[in-house]
Amino acid sequence: MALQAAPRAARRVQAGARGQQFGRIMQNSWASGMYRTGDPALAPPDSCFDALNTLIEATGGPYRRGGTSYRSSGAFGGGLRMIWDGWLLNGQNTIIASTTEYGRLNLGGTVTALGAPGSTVPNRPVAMKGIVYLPGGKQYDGTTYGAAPKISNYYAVAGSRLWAVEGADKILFSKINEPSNFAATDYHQLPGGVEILGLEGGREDVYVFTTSGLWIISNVGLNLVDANGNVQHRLDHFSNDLILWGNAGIASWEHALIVPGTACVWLLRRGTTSEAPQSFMCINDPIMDLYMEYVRLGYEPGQAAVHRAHYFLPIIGNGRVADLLVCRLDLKQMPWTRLGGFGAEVACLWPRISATSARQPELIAGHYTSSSRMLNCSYLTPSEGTQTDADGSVPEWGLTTRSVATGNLVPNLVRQIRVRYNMSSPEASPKMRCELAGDTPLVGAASIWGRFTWGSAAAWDSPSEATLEEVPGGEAPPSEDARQPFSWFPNKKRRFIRIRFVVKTKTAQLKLRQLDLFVRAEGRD
Amino acid sequence: MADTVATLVEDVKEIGGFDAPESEVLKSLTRCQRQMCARTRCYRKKLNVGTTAAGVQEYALPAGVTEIFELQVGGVVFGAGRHQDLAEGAQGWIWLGGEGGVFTRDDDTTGATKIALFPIPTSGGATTVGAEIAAFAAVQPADLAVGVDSTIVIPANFLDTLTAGAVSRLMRRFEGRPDLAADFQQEYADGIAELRQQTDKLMRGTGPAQIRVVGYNA
Repeated sequence: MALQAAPRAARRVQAGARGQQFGRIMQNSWASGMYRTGDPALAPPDSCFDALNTLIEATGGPYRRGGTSYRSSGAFGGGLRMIWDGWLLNGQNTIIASTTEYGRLNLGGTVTALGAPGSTVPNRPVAMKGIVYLPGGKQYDGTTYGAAPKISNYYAVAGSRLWAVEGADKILFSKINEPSNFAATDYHQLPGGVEILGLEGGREDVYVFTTSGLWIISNVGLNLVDANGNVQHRLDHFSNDLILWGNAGIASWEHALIVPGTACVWLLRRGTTSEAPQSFMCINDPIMDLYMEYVRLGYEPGQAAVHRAHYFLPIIGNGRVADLLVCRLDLKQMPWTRLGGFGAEVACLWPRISATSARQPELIAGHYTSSSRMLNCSYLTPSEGTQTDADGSVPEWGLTTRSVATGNLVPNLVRQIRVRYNMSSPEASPKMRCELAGDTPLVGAASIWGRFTWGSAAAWDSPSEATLEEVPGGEAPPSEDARQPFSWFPNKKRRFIRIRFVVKTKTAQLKLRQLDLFVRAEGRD
Repeated sequence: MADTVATLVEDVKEIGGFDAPESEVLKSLTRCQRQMCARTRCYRKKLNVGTTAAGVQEYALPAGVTEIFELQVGGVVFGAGRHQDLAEGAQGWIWLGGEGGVFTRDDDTTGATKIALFPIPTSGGATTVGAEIAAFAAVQPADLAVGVDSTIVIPANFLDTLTAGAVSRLMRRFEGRPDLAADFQQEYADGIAELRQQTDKLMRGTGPAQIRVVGYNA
């Protein structure tokens, strides 16, 4: 009997062509972002477990964030906590707060100190008629810094009035278009023994966040009572559940408010004609476990911002920035990712519009720790000029896939991992590494999100790098146009497989386009 | 590049894509090599069975012998006999011509394989005492071991057959995929058939040829 011609080569071709031997699991969208809640097997097919320094394109493709650069020329205080940018009486100003004093960031990058008290915790100022009202009871018109008409930690503007919280449950409001004029009888005092935690103004409504939920004062464009003494303002206890986590974390997007609560991040849709909230929607279900762990451990939100439909929420406390969570709001799935590294250690962000006629949008941020400098954040515009963070470090990019079920609840053989991607840098030759998550976490000293296994005995101990086993076969080389895929051959039997892709070198562009897993079904149950 | 046990193991893992420990792959390779040697008798050795002793008819056979092609006692060729030759010989019903005697297999009550000589060695008898018993035999190889490449006894041009056999075995027993094993099993079987042919042909020469008779076979 004659030998068959080149049987091995034929099999190799068959393996490459993926005949009957291997099933293919493909993912080319990560539009659901990080999914860490619930059974991993139920995570959406377009989700991932962790997305570090990753943002999601409109089409669902994950890409590496751009870097940062210093905006201010030197440190201001011992850590920045707040930013406000807008037009005051003398034109555009950028006001920042360290933990001890307020300052004005000048165009050249220098900071002019305005004076105490600054802000030990992130907060939000408001502006009205060319004057910014700063938490702690200060005001600034671009030239003169002084005491605000009412000392408060929470200000809002609504109904052409300035609103200020006094004590635990009292809200004062100014006369219309007279932010410095408060009548002694113009106030609301909330019933129920509550403490006000935050304030947000709308057109005709004021949102009052308290320890007993959300109150809304409406019709505030009118006087408190009419000529006949009838009350015109209306006070509604709108929700008992929505307890604000931190006033600084509130941001607005389109006609909605985004409110970080102690139970979840709420999206409060306000009508375009009527500002009465239409519905509440919890938007952080996919990362609920992660979010609630931060709440439970005493972290607090930094000053959040929405920039180009991305909600940036710093998580700060315990002397560090634990995370910078990002939610892309204009995608149906509202995917969450997170940022890390020097350029993401920020306590406050602000979406600034440049004063030039081009009106270029830019995101600026205040560094939380000792560098205490302002940063230009090019997160959304990675390019050759934004490959590193301000301190020269390279933000590590990592994308950890969801736990992909290989089928039939038996350990099937994962033969091949194939990726298609854009990755290039004019300065270096970037490499992408592929790692497999182990089944059992090791106990480590530091806690790093994304290398963390829920349900382990020590919840905050993370598995070390050792639990992520590098897949042999080398590192994926640069690929300018994503035409040439790269494959690893792990040859591992898994019921579920979780893969982590890591790039630690500089890249001008890094986008994951497609992931293919080739799996051979186990023959035995 | 010379093939080593390590490269064979790597080859099997690569071709089959197995998530199997090295020991499991080695086990499959070892068993397939044994099977190939048994089926093709390609691995042969000269064995020293022992030395004849007066009045001792049976001698233990070294382990792993598949087939004895030739046995010599004191340099004299003993022909292969039948088991009943021993009993008949003891009765004096065997008539031997020429030198030497015959040997046959005679396992003992424990199942240990032995060879028995006839005539029984006796001092001054037809089978001398103190003569070396040497066998030329097809034998089983030692287990394959990484780093001990001399344990590969299959000819180099049949190593693909060996790896195909190991892949086939792992596909069936380790992966539970007889469907995927079939192709490799076919290659393995074909390779064994060819190796047996080549082993038989080796140094045989042209051999006898039929005389062609017109009208009969020509």
